[in-house]
Amino acid sequence: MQKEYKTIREISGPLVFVEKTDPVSFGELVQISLPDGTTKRGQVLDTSHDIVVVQIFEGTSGIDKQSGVKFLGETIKINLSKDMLGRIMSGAGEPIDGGAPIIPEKRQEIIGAAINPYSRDSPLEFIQTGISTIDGLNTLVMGQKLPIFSGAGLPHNDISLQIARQAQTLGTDRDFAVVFCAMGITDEEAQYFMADFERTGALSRAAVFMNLASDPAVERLITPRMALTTAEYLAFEKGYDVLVILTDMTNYCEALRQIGAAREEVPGRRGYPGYMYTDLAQIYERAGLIKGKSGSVTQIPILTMPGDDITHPIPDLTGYITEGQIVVSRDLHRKGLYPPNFVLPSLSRLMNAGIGDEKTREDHKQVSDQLYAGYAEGNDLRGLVAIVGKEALSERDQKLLEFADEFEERFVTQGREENRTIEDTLEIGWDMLSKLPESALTRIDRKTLEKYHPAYRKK
Amino acid sequence: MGCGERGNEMTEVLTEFPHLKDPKTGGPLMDKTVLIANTSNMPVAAREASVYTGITLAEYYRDQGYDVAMMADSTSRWAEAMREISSRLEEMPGEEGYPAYLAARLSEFYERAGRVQTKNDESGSVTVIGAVSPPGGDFSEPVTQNTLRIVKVFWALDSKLAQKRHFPAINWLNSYSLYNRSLEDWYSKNAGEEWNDSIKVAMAVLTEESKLQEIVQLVGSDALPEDQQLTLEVARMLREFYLQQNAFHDVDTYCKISSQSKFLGIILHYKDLAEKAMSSGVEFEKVIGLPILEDIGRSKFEDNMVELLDKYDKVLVDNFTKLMEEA
Repeated sequence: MQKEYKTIREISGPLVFVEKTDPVSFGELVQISLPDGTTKRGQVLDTSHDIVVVQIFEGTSGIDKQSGVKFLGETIKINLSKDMLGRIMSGAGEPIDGGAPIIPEKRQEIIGAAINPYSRDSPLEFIQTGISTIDGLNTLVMGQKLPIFSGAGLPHNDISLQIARQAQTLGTDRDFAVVFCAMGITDEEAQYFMADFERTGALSRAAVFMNLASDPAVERLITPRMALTTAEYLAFEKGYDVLVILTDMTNYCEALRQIGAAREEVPGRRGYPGYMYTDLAQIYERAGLIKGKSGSVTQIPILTMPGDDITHPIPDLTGYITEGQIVVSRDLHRKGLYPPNFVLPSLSRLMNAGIGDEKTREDHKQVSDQLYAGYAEGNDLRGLVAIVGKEALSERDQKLLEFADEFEERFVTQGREENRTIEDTLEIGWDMLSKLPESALTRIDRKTLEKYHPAYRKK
Repeated sequence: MGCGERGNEMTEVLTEFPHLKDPKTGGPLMDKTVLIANTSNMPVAAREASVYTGITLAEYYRDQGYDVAMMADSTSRWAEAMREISSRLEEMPGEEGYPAYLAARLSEFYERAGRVQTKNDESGSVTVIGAVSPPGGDFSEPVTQNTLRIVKVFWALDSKLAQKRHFPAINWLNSYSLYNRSLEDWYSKNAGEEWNDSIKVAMAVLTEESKLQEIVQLVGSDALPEDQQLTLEVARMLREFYLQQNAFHDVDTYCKISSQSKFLGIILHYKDLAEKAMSSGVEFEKVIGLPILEDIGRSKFEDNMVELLDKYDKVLVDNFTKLMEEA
């Protein structure tokens, strides 16, 4: 029989301070019984002094000093089952789609252990998202964590849904699954996500976790861990290749700051706790492959940069941990382009491992380098044109300028339902490159040029 | 030494290193490598300790008479670990929340590099290459500034160069070495007599280019006088031919210092010839349109680069003699 304490001394924000208990463990699960008979759950945050600090998941409203506190003797666990695919769950892992409860095959702690780098396997396989700017220029590789840096009012939700629908691996017979984890989203967005998942049939291979903006901040801290534990279970025990989409990490970090402030911690940069880097690393580093296991966990965290500021602590610390980034640009969005992915500051650090012969196509690397170089140069020239006018440019520069425009119109732009294969993407790339003079194609070697350049292929 | 590294990158290093060959002995490079793998999701105290583990190991081998190179990637992660622990200890924060002893810790670490005489009268050394990753590329932040105060060589990686796919993305104007003078003798012995002068000329051209670029941004390159356009062209060759290297290309990834000297020499030779030709009336378009220039650029991908360059050098001289005669 567990003891029930009636020694609540203080209630502050999401925290409850309980006096004089027997030793309890850090992270232990707590059940609080309110005088009206309802119960709330919480977790032990601090046991270092005489007082135990408990954070309550459902919010502290209604708790008074008469409430009873029970320490359950275990840390937070999630019920896991293969049947979670096709289901929509709350941020605490309970089904909210009105369906039957999930019958657990396994219960597992949601705090994952750090993977020893030596037992990891290298990410080497290509994931096709069907979006040219990602597949062609910033390729996503299985086991990678590649965030999308967006801003308020930009269509990152559409991009994340499109990726969730279209993502697939080529040439493997393993199953593909998506774990979609929404944190702090509005009710309207939640409706939109659910409707889209159901309409397109993407739900059948997805497990969706929804933590709404009105849910307590504490729950937001466990939602991504629930989602990642599910992903790890599907990947490493059931052999799925799992893509985890985390949106929006900015809301998660806000919750982290809120809880940090409630705990009266010394704030770091912009009020975010000093351990935010470590905390984010514990989430992002749960992507990868493990030697001897067939599945994989790939992550696409999405975050909105406050004030579009890429040096803000959230994108900054994220960029340190993740393997590159896709940057969504307000300028391109204003031009009416979709998806407004700005390739110049975007980067996929694992790209080279996942492309080339037998993975995508042998010319992929060179085409991508050349497109990058051409677009970068063309984009620079736009500033010049604004001053001297188009006529003052050399013929080569005019071609590059046209190339930059065409790049945005044809390569970057695509439909929300348009799913391009990597072949399509590369062909569009070649078609555009063929309009540049051959002397400008310095990143492509002779052999590749003769094999793939449209002018040679016709002969 | 990977401090707060990405798990996947650490794995890449761990799996790739055993396959690498030592270019000097032909044996596996792993035989003389120690890797310390600390990833970002490991406990923060381990992250702080990893740097000391690395440098202590380096000193251990140094005392046995080895020359040790230690790569610490990244010291910013290490400083952040210090910051995190310091804030948990509720110490008074200094600049940007880093502890006040940040500068002292950094210099204690870097000062452990150096050359020593071992007890059996051999010599050993530790060379430290520390990576710093300033948030948002801002070099004024405390870790960068306190590091620059101690070290004598600085390689500034430039995100603009990386975006243009110019690799290695080391900014030639911001980077510096304070050892250049003390190494002059070594260079003239190993790289060739002309090396020290060539470097100065090349740097002058690149500095001139960056000034001219500001004007070009405003009025376009066609508006410049021809001699300045030539400077731009030579600078372009220096950048694209000489400074850019493809780390994934079998040959281009490593260029011997003597070959580098040759390569630099032929570009500067072209500069001299072109200047001479233009002053005696050869048209600018003909000077920059020489097809041999492309061949020079591509020679770096070939095994027999040195012989090719010797050949091209003769072609270059012939071409210019012809141009001069025509004019």
